[in-house]
Amino acid sequence: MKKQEAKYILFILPAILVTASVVVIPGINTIYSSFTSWNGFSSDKNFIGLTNYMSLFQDKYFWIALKNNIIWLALFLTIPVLIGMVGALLLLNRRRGRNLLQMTLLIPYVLAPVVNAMIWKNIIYSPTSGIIGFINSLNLGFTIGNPLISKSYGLIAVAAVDIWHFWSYLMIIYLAALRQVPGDQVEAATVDGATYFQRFRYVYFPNIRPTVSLMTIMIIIFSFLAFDYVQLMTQGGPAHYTELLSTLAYSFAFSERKLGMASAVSMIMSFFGLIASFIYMKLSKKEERE
Amino acid sequence: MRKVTKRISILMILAMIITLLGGCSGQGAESEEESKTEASETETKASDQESGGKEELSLWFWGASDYQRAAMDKYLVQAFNKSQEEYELIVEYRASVDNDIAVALSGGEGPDIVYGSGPAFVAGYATEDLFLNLDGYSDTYGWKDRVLNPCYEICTIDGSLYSIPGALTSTGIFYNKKVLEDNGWEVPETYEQVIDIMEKAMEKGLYAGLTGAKDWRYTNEMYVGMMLTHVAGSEAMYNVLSGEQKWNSKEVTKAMEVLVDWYHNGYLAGDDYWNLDFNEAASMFANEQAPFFFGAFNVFQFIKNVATEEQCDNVGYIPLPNYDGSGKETTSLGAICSFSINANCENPDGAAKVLDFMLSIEFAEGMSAEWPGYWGMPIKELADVNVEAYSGIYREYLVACMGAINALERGDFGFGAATCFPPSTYEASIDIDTVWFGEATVEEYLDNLDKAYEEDVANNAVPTIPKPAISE
Repeated sequence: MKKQEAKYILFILPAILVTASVVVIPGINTIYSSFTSWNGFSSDKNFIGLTNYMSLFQDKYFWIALKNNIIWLALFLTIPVLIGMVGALLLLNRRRGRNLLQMTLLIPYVLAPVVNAMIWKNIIYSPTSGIIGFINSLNLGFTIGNPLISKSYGLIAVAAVDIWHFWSYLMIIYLAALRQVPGDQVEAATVDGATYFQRFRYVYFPNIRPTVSLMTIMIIIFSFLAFDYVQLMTQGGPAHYTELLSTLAYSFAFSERKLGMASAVSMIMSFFGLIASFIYMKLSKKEERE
Repeated sequence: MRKVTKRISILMILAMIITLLGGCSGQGAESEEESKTEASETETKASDQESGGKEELSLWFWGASDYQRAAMDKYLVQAFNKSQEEYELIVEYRASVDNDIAVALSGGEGPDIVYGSGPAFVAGYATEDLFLNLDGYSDTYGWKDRVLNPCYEICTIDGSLYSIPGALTSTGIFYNKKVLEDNGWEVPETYEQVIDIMEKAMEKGLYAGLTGAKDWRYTNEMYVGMMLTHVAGSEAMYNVLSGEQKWNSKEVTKAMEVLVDWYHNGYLAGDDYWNLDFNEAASMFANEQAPFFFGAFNVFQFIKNVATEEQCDNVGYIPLPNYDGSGKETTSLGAICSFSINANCENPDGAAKVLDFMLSIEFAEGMSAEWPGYWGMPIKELADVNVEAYSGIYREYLVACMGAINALERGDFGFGAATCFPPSTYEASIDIDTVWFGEATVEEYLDNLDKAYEEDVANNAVPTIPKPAISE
């Protein structure tokens, strides 16, 4: 090895060491733990092969959690994306008050999840003290129950809070991308008589597609990592109606002290994220070739 | 116009920063509590320097409220530190203490004195030698003679002591004396009378009984434990927890069927079981919206949190009368928490002194008088406290503790879920809501408990189960 090259390695060594200690080693440890019956504090990690995965696949709550994660993903790939895009397009052509609106709409995103969760749980959803309670007190001939305990709407009710918190972030990202679209292309399309929708379809969207793709991949990854709002609002209940893979992993790790099982759940969560990343890389390469 | 927009933008930024800070302070007052902890630690350290460099002993505790911390500081920290010259106890309040301790212990770290969520929590750690064997200290300080036998026994593993039990607890009936009196109802003495009062209360538009699982799904376990103790009975539950009888047995099935009926009949806060937390439910109870509140001894602290002194005076406690009509006053064997010594503790003798201090009548009585519901330590001496020296909720709490002590000494006890169930079994017991919501049958729920219990047995996670008085 040349002396010059050795010097370069020294430069990147700290980064390699940090990456190895905070990403690679814990990652490998988690992979290995998923094949053990480790309880989280024992010095022994009994290798048990695929037993954790087999147990998981036979656990009905795992399938409920997986189904819920997929519903969560479907909700997040549509609702906040649509609202965020519409919001960004509306703000794009609005020069006056744009900054003010951006900041106002971003408030839920910058608030701590615990605050958002408490606002929705106690001030909006609560039938005893919240807005729902107020509506019920008007005796309008119908009563609204707590959506968080509904089999049909419980998960959607929690997701709604996370969407309320998340969509403005997407809007800001989309808006930033839309503002990078070359003005001459937009002007040319306008001069050619393109409608607003046609300008979006043929000018804006192709230009911001890399950003949309990246955010889509991030949403997929985030959806399989979603945890805080469910844990804060329902802890996966009642009756596991709002269970997600992350809350299931948390129960295994901290309530049942089955770190091996928790690691197996984490591996499955990561698997979906990896698929999304793989698709993104393929799409990126394809776009580069084009 | 631009200038106006700019000014509004600056104002918005300021508003957002303030809101953000507000959000931070809203995290269960955690940040505020942490800063107070730091402040109190600094004070303790300052006094440490003044006292000439004592050895420090650490204890992590959950994020208690101001009055609770004041009581801890007065009756534990200051009292212990003044009681001897060698050690300085420092209590650190952490909102996520359970998880913090689990993570710290797995890394060979953690406080000297380990707070745990109950004796069942200890088994796994003790078998991995993460906690010190306390037999020697028990002999030195005479703990075995001072602590109630079942409470001592459940803290042992293979005959050796690994923790001391925290305060006594049992899920039962808190009754509102004024509501009963106003409606001409007597304090119930039989199971049927409890049901009768609840039905009449609902007819009058009151809640039958208050409680709430809004913030804590694990509230379910209280009612599982209550029914197992008072419907399935001591003998059946001893056999189940000793592995001699299946969970899916006649007695346990009956108990869970009764619990399902209670839920569907609206006895557990009706439609609001999932809409109320304990503070809200306690407030409604204090405001005479129900004759009963079903909960464990720590409900005393919730009532103290939200009720006026006059309202507190209206509160009484009785165990749920047994379903079989035996008339025996039965309690659940329960310890609200446990305290162990970290195997890596550098001053185990000092830590043992702290544990011994916590098992003193001065500590138990003093703490109970300021923080009812959490510090009635399971020591025999507590039964001799002069309750007439106390009034209101403090008196009621001590009376409840005495009732539990007497029942434990007679052997009339069942088993609290949080204290006596091993981890997987405990987690599975929470799933009673799957039966309430029609997602599982009682039989399926109990089959699941059998499966979880088998896993716990395989993992050596089952605590020692003390034997109640069983008619041979």
